[in-house]
Amino acid sequence: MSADATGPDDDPWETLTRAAAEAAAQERAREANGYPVAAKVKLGKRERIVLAKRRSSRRVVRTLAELEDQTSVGEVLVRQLVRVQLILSIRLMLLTVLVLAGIPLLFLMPSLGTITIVGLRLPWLLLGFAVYPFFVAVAWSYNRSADRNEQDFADMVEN
Amino acid sequence: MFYVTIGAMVVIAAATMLTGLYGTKVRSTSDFLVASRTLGSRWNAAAISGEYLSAASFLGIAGLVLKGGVDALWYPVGFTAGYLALLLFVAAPLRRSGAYTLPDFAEARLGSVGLRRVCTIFVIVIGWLYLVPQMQGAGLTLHAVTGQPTWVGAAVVMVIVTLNIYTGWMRSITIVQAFQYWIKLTALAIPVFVLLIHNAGERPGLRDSLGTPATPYFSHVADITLDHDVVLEVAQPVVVQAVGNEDGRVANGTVYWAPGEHRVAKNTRLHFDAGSRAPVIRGAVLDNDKWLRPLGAGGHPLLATYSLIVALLLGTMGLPHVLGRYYTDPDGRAARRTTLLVLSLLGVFYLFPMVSGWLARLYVPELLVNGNTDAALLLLPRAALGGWPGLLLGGLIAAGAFAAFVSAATGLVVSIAGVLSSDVLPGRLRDFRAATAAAWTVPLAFVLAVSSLDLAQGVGLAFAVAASSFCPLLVLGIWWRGLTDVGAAAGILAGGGLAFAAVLPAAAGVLPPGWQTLLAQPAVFTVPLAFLTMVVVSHHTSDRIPVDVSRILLRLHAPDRLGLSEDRDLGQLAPRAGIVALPRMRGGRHRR
Repeated sequence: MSADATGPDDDPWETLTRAAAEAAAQERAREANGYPVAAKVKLGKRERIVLAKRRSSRRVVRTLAELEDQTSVGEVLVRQLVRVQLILSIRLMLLTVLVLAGIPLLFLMPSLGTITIVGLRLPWLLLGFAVYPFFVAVAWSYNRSADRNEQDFADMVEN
Repeated sequence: MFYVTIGAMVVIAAATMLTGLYGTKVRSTSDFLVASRTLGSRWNAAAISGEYLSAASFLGIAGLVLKGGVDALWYPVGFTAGYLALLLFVAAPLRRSGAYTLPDFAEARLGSVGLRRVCTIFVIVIGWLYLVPQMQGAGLTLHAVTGQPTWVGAAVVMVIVTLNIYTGWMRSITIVQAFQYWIKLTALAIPVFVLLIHNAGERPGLRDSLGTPATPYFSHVADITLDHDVVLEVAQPVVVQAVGNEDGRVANGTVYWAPGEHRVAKNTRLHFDAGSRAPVIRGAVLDNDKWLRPLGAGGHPLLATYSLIVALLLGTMGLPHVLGRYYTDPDGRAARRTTLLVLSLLGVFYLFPMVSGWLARLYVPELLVNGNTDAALLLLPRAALGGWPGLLLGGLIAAGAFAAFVSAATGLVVSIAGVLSSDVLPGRLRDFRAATAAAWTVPLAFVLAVSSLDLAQGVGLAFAVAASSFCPLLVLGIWWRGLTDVGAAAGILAGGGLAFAAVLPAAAGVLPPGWQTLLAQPAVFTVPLAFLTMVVVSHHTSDRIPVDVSRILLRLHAPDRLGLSEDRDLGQLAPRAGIVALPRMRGGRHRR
């Protein structure tokens, strides 16, 4: 889609559907000529068999949409992106929740209340200080991964 | 201290106004917005933090730490973790939706005006719940500085905020709010550093007393007049001079208190000699050793802790004044960057209330007697340092506290008035100014009638309702195709309604202690209920799924550089910007 710039006036729907139609046509042409059509594209950390783009002499792949009659290509792409991002978010959220939920359980051990590091009690250090860098680290990791997921998706669509 | 405080407040106000004037060299709304957008994530993050740090963060945490020790630290941790949850699930997609308020988002996502109305109601309710502690905090601050009764401070904040909004003096634009963050941080950091240095020079006995299985003791003479009835717990026998009514008897002179509970009536004056042990109010942690350890006081400590964590973690994203601040980020990716910085700024800030609470346990144990632990930070400098340094620093803190109340209250009132004037009030009252006035009535009435909760706990109530209503809406709306308007409304009403019904009696303080813990933090029950309701009802009404849901989700999740995200009509952003002449905010804009 290098020639058609995606502007704010373009219906995003049509953009994707158009790309899908073009690629599907190309693929059929190649198939007829005996070229291999299956390929994998990395979207985030998962590999997907997806529709890649058009007019270049790239290998064009069979899409999931061709396997399911009813679903249009664009919708599938979006679902994949959403799913990848959701799994990323859930994973990091689960990590955070486990850490946060684990701290009160840790506190149930009476001996923990007396451990002193640098003159300060452990519970205070943990809850008053150490959690914050942990949050920032999780956030930073998320930002990097989410941006990368989006990058991959955009590359695939625009390309 | 009065004059110092007033002086500091005037300086802060003047500096804020000047910053506002400097930052607003532009005339039109869109110029203004563009200018704000070029500021970048660091400014936006400081602005978000500046507005977010309210009474609870500034004063409330220190007071709770004084009372409850380590367990109180779950509040700042929760406040911060809430932004992490927001980042993971909501920040970028919400920015891309172009929604400026939560009712906006609901309507854009699900296309229902009825749902929009439900959301509006909850925005107002949550806003009010959050506003009440701000006014109480202001009342407390003014009382500590001038001795005026609480309602005076509350009324003063109301007047200042209303004037702000009407005249647009201190615009809540990004630069101004960013400045607010640094003011608050400074107002807190300087006194705390000074006090720490002072404390380091103290005789060791005082500091070590925190680890001993004994109650805190008065390092200096303490005269306390009680402004409400209290039940005190005494661990070690103490001799006190009492004038008034204690344990049902009229007292006038020396009284000997054996270990156990003692009831003291309002208006009684108590005098403790230096070195005598301090009794503590029921509900606070009694001996210093237990105070230093976690899971100290209260029934069901584990359940209460978890419920609080759930409320704070999931409630931030549902607060009315949080969302609009993201609009000054140019796109979804910038929204993520900004949120990351917010986490850092909050983390830095929250170190100080913790240290203050620890210092307060040493220097102002009398607050454990009269129960006004929220005043800990205000009274700490005078108690620890005395003389003019104490006055100076105390004034600085009071001014910072007032800045906190005014900025948080401004953000809240603007949010509430915004939805009131656009969605609720018909006819002539579609006027932002009238809505502003209307926004105050209920909270003020509440403050005047009731004033029993700690500031941080009061704020926690708002979080609980937000977590039970808007969190499921946002999370399911952004990530799940299957949400319907009926499902969303059902979930909000069930979860949010139940949460509100639970917290209201808790806020009024009319419950016996056992129930208080459970009902004041209902989140661990109401949040799952809300999610479940939304999912189940949506399944049953799946014919109402919006036809263009795929397109909407695409808009929310697609990378910014594809240019698919939405920008709202800029003219309607005026009230948030603090500019007063506004066009009417209409519903039904997003569906084309």
